[in-house]
Amino acid sequence: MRARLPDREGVVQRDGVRVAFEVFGQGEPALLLIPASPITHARSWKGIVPSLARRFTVVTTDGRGTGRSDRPHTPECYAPAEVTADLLAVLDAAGIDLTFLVAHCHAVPWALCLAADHPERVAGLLAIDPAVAVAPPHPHTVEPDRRWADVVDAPVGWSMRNRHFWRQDGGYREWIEFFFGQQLPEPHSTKQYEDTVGWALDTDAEAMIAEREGRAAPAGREAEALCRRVRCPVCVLHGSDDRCQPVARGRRLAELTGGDLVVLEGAGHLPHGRDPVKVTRLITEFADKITGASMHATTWTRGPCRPARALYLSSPIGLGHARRDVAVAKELKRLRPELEIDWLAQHPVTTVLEAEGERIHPASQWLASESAHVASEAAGHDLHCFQALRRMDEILVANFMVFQEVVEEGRYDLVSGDEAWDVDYYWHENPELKRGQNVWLTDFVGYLPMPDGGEREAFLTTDYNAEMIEHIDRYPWIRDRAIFVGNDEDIVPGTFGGTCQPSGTGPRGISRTPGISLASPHPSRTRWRRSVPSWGTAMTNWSASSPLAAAESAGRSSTRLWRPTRWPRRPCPS
Amino acid sequence: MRARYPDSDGIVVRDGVEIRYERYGNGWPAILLLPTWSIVHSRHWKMQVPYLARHFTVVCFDGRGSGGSGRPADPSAYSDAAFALDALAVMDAAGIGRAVLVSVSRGVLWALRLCAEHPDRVLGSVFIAPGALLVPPLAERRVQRFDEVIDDPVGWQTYNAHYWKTHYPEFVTFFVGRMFTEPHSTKQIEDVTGWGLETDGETLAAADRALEGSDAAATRRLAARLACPVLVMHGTQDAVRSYAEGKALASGTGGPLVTLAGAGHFPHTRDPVQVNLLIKQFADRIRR
Repeated sequence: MRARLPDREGVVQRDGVRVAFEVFGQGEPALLLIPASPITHARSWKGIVPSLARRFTVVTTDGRGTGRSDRPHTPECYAPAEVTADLLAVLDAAGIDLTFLVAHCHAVPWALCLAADHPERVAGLLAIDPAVAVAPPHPHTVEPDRRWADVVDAPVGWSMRNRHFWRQDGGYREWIEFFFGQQLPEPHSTKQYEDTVGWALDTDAEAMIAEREGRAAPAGREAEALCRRVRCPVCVLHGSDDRCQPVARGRRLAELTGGDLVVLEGAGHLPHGRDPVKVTRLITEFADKITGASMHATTWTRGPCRPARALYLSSPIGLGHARRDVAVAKELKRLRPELEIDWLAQHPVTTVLEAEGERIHPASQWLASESAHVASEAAGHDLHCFQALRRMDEILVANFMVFQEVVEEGRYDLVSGDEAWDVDYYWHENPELKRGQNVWLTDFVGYLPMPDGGEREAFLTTDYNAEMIEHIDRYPWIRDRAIFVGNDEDIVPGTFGGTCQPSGTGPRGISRTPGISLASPHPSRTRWRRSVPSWGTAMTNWSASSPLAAAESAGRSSTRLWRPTRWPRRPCPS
Repeated sequence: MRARYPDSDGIVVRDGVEIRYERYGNGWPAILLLPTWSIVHSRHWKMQVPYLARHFTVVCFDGRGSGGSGRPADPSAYSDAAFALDALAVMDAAGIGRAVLVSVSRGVLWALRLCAEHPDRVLGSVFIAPGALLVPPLAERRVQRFDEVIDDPVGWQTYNAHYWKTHYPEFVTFFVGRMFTEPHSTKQIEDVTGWGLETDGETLAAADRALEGSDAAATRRLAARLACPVLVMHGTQDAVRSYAEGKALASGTGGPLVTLAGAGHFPHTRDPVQVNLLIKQFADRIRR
């Protein structure tokens, strides 16, 4: 299930080529998100659209060659003039006069053309990992690109970027799987990897070849001249570990346009997919600075004058959470009568809270429904919890952004999250965003692979467990208190994925923790052998006959702090 | 010891009055921290200068009647125009073409004048706890009779030219007490009291009389002429200038209002971190 559906969909048609677009929200100003089509399409923005659309009008397009757009197979159809004309047509059709552009990779030259040639339409340009030839390409792409049109025998790696290879049976897919393995050097990127490969397979080799041969992006002095013609504010985001486009290109683009450069240390080529929280905040800050929206009427209350406040999050998946959380909240208020508690919660938890007279934060209305997602996952077949949670990724990030705004504006002293997976995950991924003290409650720790999931699922659950363990090992101060709600007998003896030894070498930069191996998100490049076949987890079904029992039970369990004692610390990089 | 000493300082003589100024840092844009009523001198910016000077060029000066500046006896020497021209003279001497202005309380009047009449020298203006006469004085101040002889004045009655001749320190103690309504403000109270005692009742009375020419209509006219970016901040517990004053200035200039809930009249000394961040954020926006 998507975290947010478009408010409007449409198609523009130029010279018989149809290009699809979607519009979300109606705030000012507008943002046009331009994907590097046709290798990817509008869904590549899924991690940032729902939260941006609460503030701005967000327009996404699939670009010609992929998604719901047509797939012309002639190079001329992909000339920059054609693509920029599409974008203008999309803006016209969406009724957008002035817009900010957000462009990725080889979409950045199109955005530069738009900004230079139609300054009256463009308020600012945010470029992510720009493919603008104002600095040399990565050396590893030079020779393969020179031989793009040659017949290459059994190409490997970057040499697979070859028109003949793409036309071979399975060649395009093999290239795509290699390419996105390279673009996601961040550990634990399996979901982003699966997503991006899937979107790339929405098009076909012929459209990809036609686009590549018709791209005609400016280079050298011509590219510099284009950059210098841009008059609007520019901000460039560039991953330090981007293997598609060197950071030098982002830096030079920023210099030539007088723009800002934000280097995302440790990030690859797809930060909007892998670090959606940071990218959303950077886009928002960029637009707000230019429009002046960041300087609006606000109230700052002196620290000593603030009432004690807690924000309580209660998972909507399973009503047991709501009952125990209400019990905990009542006990908190008994101990500290002056404490104000707001709830950031969604249906069906809100039903319980309303009946108890609890205060539901109005921003709760912005939460994308987790229970609807789970229901959609369970429709017609058994619910596969782990995969359902993985596919909830865009809902989790959308809801985290709501939470983060609430917690920053509300100045809460305490955040209590009962299985608030979004908060736990994204605060560890963006530790500087933590506000207040954080209590983490959970019924289960770690994921078990389903028997029918095979080696792939064993790999995935190990990877997810390893990510969680690394999170709390690296940032023990994110969870001020971690409370496991359950009984000793609920804890299955074993490990969180055992000692897996990778065979073969993963891509450069993949970190490995002894005991847990973190490998390429590309399963076919790294073989995994489980040396400890027993899988560890701790699960329980919490139930209580009364709220009082809930409070007691929660209180008893609170002495059990879970710590990752089995895993040695990752050595610090020297 | 100061947290930071000026990189250069000097005296500019304008209209026969010496004006002492200091300059810190080299960043762009420049920030001009304006004087306020002569009861304090430029040290009241001590919590802003070291931080802002790491990012911007910071210039401040002792207003006439305070600190190291001259103390003319004639009330006409303390007009709004005189302070505004002093500010321009200081900018010239410090080599500053255009600046972001930051003003507090009465200094807001001079900032408004600079913004309206010298827009080419102003990049933007931050107004803190404005005393711009846009709304009637606080209820408790209505007992003020500046030129009447009052026997045993109490409270705001001590805001009185005759009383200041004989009991200036008592007035300063009272007034500074009203400036800081926040609990635990002893250090700020001691600081401001000390600065207040560096000048004298006659000088302060002369400076105060110059205000008689200002009124709400004049302020409104100036405010309406503002074209630069503006930010207003005002404490809800301000017992010298009412919070309504900040609201009125924000609506008069079209600028955003930052409400400082629980803050008194000198938030830049009592809540320096928040005020510093707001000034920095404002100047960063100008910088773009």
